[in-house]
Formats: sequence, C-alpha cells, structure tokens
Amino acid sequence: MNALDTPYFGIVLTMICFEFARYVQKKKKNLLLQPLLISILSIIILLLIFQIDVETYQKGGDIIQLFLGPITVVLAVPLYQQVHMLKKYKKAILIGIFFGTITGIISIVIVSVLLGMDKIMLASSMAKSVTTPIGIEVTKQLNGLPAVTILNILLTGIIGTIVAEVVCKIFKINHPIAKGIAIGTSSHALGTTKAFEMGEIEGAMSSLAIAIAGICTVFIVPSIWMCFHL
Amino acid sequence: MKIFQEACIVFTIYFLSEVIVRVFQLPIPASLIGMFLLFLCFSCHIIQLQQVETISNFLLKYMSFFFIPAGVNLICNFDVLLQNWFQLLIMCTVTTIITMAVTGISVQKLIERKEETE
Repeated sequence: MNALDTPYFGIVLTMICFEFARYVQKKKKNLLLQPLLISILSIIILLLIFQIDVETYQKGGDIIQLFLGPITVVLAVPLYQQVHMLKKYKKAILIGIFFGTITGIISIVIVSVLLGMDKIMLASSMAKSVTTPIGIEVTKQLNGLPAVTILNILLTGIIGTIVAEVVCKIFKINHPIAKGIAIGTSSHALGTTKAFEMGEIEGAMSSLAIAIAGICTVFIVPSIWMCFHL
Repeated sequence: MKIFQEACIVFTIYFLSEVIVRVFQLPIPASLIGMFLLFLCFSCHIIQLQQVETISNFLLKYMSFFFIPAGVNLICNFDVLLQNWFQLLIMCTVTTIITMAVTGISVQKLIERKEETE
C-alpha cells in the first residue's frame, strides 16, 4: 500500500469518519452512538478490510494527536469562567473533588484485583475518570496501554451519563452544585453534557470539576500506584 | 487574523510548558503545566478570555476528534481487549457509581454545613 504512504491519508480518513459519525449521531439520538466511538470503530474496520497497516494510518494520526496538549491547556478557560463559584464554595468543591477522586481510584484498584485483572490492565484503568488528554499522560507514566485507557474513559463517560440521574436520586444529592461536581468528577466531558441538560449551574460545575479532578488524578494516581507496588 | 493570534497564544503556552517540564524534569504532564500557565495569565490579566475564546471553543467542541488516532491503536491490543472486555465493563460501571456518589455526598454535606454556619 505504498500509494497511501502520506500523512494526509490518516488525516483525511479521520476527518471523513468523524463527519460520518456526527451525521449518524444527529440522525439517531442514541447515547451509545458517541462520535468518538463510531469513528474509531469505522476506521478500524476500514483498515482491517483493506489490510492497511496501522503505521500507515498513524503517519497522519500522530499529527492529529499533536493537538491533545493545547486542548488540555484551553481547559483553563471554563475553569476561569467559573472562578467566582469556586471562590465562594472553595472548601466544599475542592475537598469533595479530592475525596471523590481518591475514593474512585482506590475503588478501581480494589475492583480490578477482585476481577482478577492483570497489572497492565490496571495501569490502563487508573486514570479512567478524567478527561482524555490527562488520562493518556497518566497511563503513559505507568507504562499502560493508552488505547485501552481511551476505551475506559469512553465507557466511563457513557455509563456516567446513563446513571447520573438515578445515582443523584438514590443518594439524595439534590444541590445543583453537588450534582454538577459529582458528574464532572466521575465522568468528565461526556458526563458534563448530561449535567448541562440538568441545568446551567450543574453544567458549569461539571466543567469546573473536569479540570480540578484531572489535576488531582495526576498527583494521586502515581502515589497510589507506588503504594501498591513497593 | 484573530484565530491566528489565538492559536499563536495557545501553542506558545503549550510549547513553553514542554520546555519547563524538560528543563526541570517534572513528573507532571506538560499539558497540565500549560493549563496552570494560561489560568495564571487570566488571573494576572496578562491574557484576556476574549483573546483565546474562538480557538478554545473550537478545540473544546471538537475535542473528541483529536482522540480518534489514539483510539484506533486498539487494533494493536485486540487480544488483550477480547480477554478483558467484561471485567472492564463491570469495573467502569461500579467505580463510576462509587466516584459519583462519594463526590456528590461530600460536596453536599460540606455545602449544607457552610450554609448552616452562615
């Protein structure tokens, strides 16, 4: 397949599949039809059918991935837009996110051990509740598989959107700030779309939580990892 | 011209944070340092929100596009995935509910306590 040996192959294929996926999502409003999920699956299927090396695709893919850094940088924008809320409730918000993140990570370790998952799967799952660029970075530091982390992050986001309302009802979480922070901390940007459906404050708080939970995760995961493997 | 200036600001910040991580050999992702830097620039009024608004709206709206190539790498981990998909599904469901509940309950309790004292 020398004819495809140009970075433009990967870039164009990704763009077309993403457009296709967004079209499908608009037509059928189904939570499982996340554009990211459909795009990944359709590209994998196309590569397999036409027997194209994943390396050929990644010549373009690597260029797209260069933008993951700047994307994390601009997460500072929603964080700064909500800074007045953060100042007003800083103790509740910061302690809540920190406590939730640490409990979440410990529960990941416990559940994975109970299910008999091996070390590399655990390493790829530790940072599954945060926004993807941060999750990938953390996984790389633990020598996990970033592709598996992406799948975990996607699963977590979809599950979070599905269970959000039920969880809030069962545990009697009814304050809009508490709801938003809970959703953003547990299921990042995908959950945030659900939080915005619940209300303006919920959505804003959820976007705020993405950034702060991401920061907490970067510091907590390596420490817990060391504790369990010393 | 505006989008060009905006991109210039964001990319420069990210580049600087990569340099900082290399120089000081920090164990923190460069992108996180960049987030701090941009937040700091907002707080100190060195950069106004409007100066990066268009590019950040664009990047945040189409965020998922940029993860596609990393996800396509699943093709290389097919066997691991086939062995573990059920465990991953259970693990993600259980831990997402735990994280959501614990965070929500803690924030709510702390807010109630604050409002009581006021």
